[in-house]
Parts: sequence; C-alpha cells; structure tokens
Amino acid sequence: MFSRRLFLRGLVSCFTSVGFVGLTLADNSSLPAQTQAPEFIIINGWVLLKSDLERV
Amino acid sequence: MIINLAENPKSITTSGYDVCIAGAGAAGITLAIYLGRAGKKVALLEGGDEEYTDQSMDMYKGKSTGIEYWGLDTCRLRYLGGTTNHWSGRCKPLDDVDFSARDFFGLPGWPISRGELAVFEAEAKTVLDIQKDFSAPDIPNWHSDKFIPDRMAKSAPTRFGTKFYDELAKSEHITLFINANLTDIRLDKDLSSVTEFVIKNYERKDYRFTGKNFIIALGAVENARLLLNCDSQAKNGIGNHSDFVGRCFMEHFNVDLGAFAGNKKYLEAAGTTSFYTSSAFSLEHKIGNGNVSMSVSSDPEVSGGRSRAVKKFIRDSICEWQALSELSRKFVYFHCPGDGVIGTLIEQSPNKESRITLDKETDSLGLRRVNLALRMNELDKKTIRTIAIELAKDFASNDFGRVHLAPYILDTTLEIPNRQHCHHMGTTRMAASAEYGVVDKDCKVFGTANLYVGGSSVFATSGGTNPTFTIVELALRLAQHLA
Repeated sequence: MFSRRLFLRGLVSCFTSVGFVGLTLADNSSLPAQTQAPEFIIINGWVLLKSDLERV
Repeated sequence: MIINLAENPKSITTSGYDVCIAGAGAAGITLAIYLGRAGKKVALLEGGDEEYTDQSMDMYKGKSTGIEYWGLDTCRLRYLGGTTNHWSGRCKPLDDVDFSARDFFGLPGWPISRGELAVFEAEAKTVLDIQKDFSAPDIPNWHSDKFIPDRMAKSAPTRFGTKFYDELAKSEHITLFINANLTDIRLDKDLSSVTEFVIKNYERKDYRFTGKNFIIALGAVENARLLLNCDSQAKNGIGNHSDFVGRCFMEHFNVDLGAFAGNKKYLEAAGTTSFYTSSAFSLEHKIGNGNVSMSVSSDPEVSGGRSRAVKKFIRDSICEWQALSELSRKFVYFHCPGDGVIGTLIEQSPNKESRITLDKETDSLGLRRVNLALRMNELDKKTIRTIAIELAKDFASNDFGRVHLAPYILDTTLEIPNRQHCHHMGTTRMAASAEYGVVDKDCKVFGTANLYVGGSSVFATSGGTNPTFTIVELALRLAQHLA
C-alpha cells in the first residue's frame, strides 16, 4: 500500500505544478513550538521528515 | 419487587427507605444493587418503562445553541438500564494525571486521588463483565514517549437492566418503580435536608417518597436540569450557590485530524491501533489528553445535506476514476477507500461557558427543558492541534506512515469541525469547596445533609477516556459511603 518513493515522487510532481507551498500559518499561537523542529517539514498538510525529500 | 406507576397502584410504600435513588442506569442500578446487598431499604425510581417508549424519551428533548450537537433525545436512553441499553462497552479507568492539579485548565480538578477510586477497580470490572486486564498491547516497532498504546478493555457490553433484572425483582431490600418521574426535590425549612422526592407518573399523579438519603442518577444533562428546575424553595435551583449547576458540560471531541498513507508492514503487524497521550506529554504541553486510533477506511464518508449528491459525484470521481484534481479535495473533505483514517476521542477542558440552562418550553410533566450550549475554548483547540501534529511527527519518525493533516489543524483561523461521543459529563462537578463545584468528594451536594449525585455529572475533568467505567467506580464508592 505504501511506497515511499512513488508517494514522494507524486508529491514533488504536485509541487512543480502548483508551486511549493510550505507551512504558512496566519496565527500559530495555538500550535506547539515543536512544529518547527528541524527534522520535520509540513508541505501541503503532509507531515514529512526532511530526509524524505533527500531520498526522492 | 417491581411496581409500575403507570398502572396507578392503589397501595404502595413511599416511606421508610434508607435511600431513594432516581434513575436506573449504570450509576443508579449499581447503587441500588450494592446498597440492597448491604441490607439497605432502597426505592429505585425509573422515569421510563422496562422497555423503550416514545413517551419517556420525549422528556429528553431540548435545544442546542452552541456547537452543532446530537439531538438530546438520541444520545441517551430513558428506560430501565438507561444508556447501557445501547452503549458500545469501551472501558478504561481514568489515569493518575487526570486527578493531578492541572492549573492550565483554569479550574480545580478532582478533590480525590486516583487511588480513592482504584480500590473499586476490580469490583467495577465484575459489574461490567470485563474479563481482561487494562494492559497496553504491544505495538511492534513503535517508539514514542508521547503516544503510548492505549490500555482499553471491552465490556460485554453489559446491559444493566437485563443483567440485574432478576436481582432487582427478587431482592427483599429493593423496590423498583417504573414510569416514576422525579419532578421535584422538597427541602426542609432551612433548606439543608431533603424531605421528599416528588414522583409523578405520566398522568401527573403525585407520589411523595421519603427516606434518610436521596440520590439523583439521571445522567449529566438531566441531573442539572432537575436541580435547576427545583427553584421553588432554593433560588436558582438546589446546589447552585456558586452558579455551577449546569456549567462545565463536557464531551469528548471526535475530530477528523486527517488521513495517513500507511506503511504496509506496519498495518499488517498492528492492524487498527489505539494510542493514548502520555502524562508527560500532556503536562509538558499543558493540554488535555486524548485517544487516537489509526485504521484503514473501507467506507468512504460523504457528509449529508442538500449537496450530498454533488459531493458523492466528486468523491467517486477522485476515488474510483482518478479524475478531477487534488484541488477538489479542498472543497470536499472525505476519505477514499484504503485511506488511513485517524479517529479521536479528545478531552474537553472544564469550561464554565459550556453549559446547560433551562428553556422556557416545558415537558409534559411541567419541567422546563434544557438548552445546551457546548463550547470549545482555546485550550481545547490547542489540545486537538498539538495531538494531531505531534502524532503525525511520531508516525513519520517511526516510519509507520505519513500523515496528511486536515486544513483546520494547521490554519488556526479555521474552525475545527467536530462531532462528539455522546458522553455527557461535568454539570454538577465535584470540588473541594462549594466555590468551584456542586458536590463534595463524597458526591454530596454542598449545603445539604442527605442529597447525593451519581453518574458522570460529578466529573471534575473527563480524561480522554470513555466514562462508564468511572461512573461505576464512583457508584460503588458512594454505595460504600452510604452502606
């Protein structure tokens, strides 16, 4: 069910068509500080490891 | 003995009881059974019949003016056995952290420790026919100090009206009255002791029950409604010195946090998994607790309403035909078959603005109906969003999958849509003093000598846990106190 490589390629192709949308919050006061932890990245709602992107 | 007040019996005993209990659900029946076994003379007064009737259920109807909520006459069942006639049986005790001082809630928590309930854990398991221990399952390859495998256990589920019917009918100490609606609580001159429960059948014929002690165990909505309606002697209702009756109505939020693409290896090894927030995690973040379960959807969900057909078409286009674009998902949120779905049961903090008040409309017995205003405050939103984000991070770091969070998790300008679990709690909360609650640590209404409350309305906080097990523990504790 889960193929990380296929999944991430699909994700990247999605970004190239709609543009890279990172984590943009109008107000992050109710979010935990760890949201910004360096090993994670949130792209279009997907919570990923930064290393996921390096493996694509 | 069972007496049906709908038959207008000519001669019944309404005096000389040690304890009069209104409400024959999980709390009321547990209390009656254990007090009867201790030799106490008990009158158990149930507003409904032995089976479901529309006439009885009509008493539950009310308005909802806060967060969109279930119909008040659909969550609970008003006949012998109460809501245990349709509950699912999920059980777990509250945790130590639920009884700790969590100042960030803004109100004091429980005035008792977990240990004071834990001594009744084994007996509560017997009452609820729970065979297994509350031990957490092993989830292979899961490493987290934030989300731990939940230690849920399953009741049969026990139907109290069925399980205890024979004992209620045959006990020489217990008399069960059905179609017996509590409509008023009469107090003595200085308003410190209950003298009578005023009971009516549906023809409004009065029966006045007297005894040493009185317990209301009608459910968290009805306990508050009854106390607020009893305002002919006590201004603003019985036990309402500090304006807490009806306040701090709590539910468990059921929020769709998003979906996940799961690691096949994980899914095969663990199947549907259930996690619970660790104490260290919730205390560190100053949030409530919650249960999250991860499963794979087999039944795509499309919300109702007039646009249902359009939504179904779009869903089918995406899920089945791979047509249209991902953009469509921004407008129609749903799960396709095979999606990983995250289910939640999240603690609501005690919030004075989440409350029950009385409406002008009355029921057929003359009691004013309820107006429920369920509210979600900023702490609740923080709890939901923190659990979602941190769970998603743990899912990624454990390589169990990748979570796609719902838009309202990350965009704090959006309202968080939610459903609830029909868990009614907190409207007559337990506190160390009358300043912050309605009942004391013995479940006795502050300012009275002999009026007690059974059920989840006394919950000071609710945990992220189904309430029935705690309801039974509290009932056993109160029975021991009065025996």
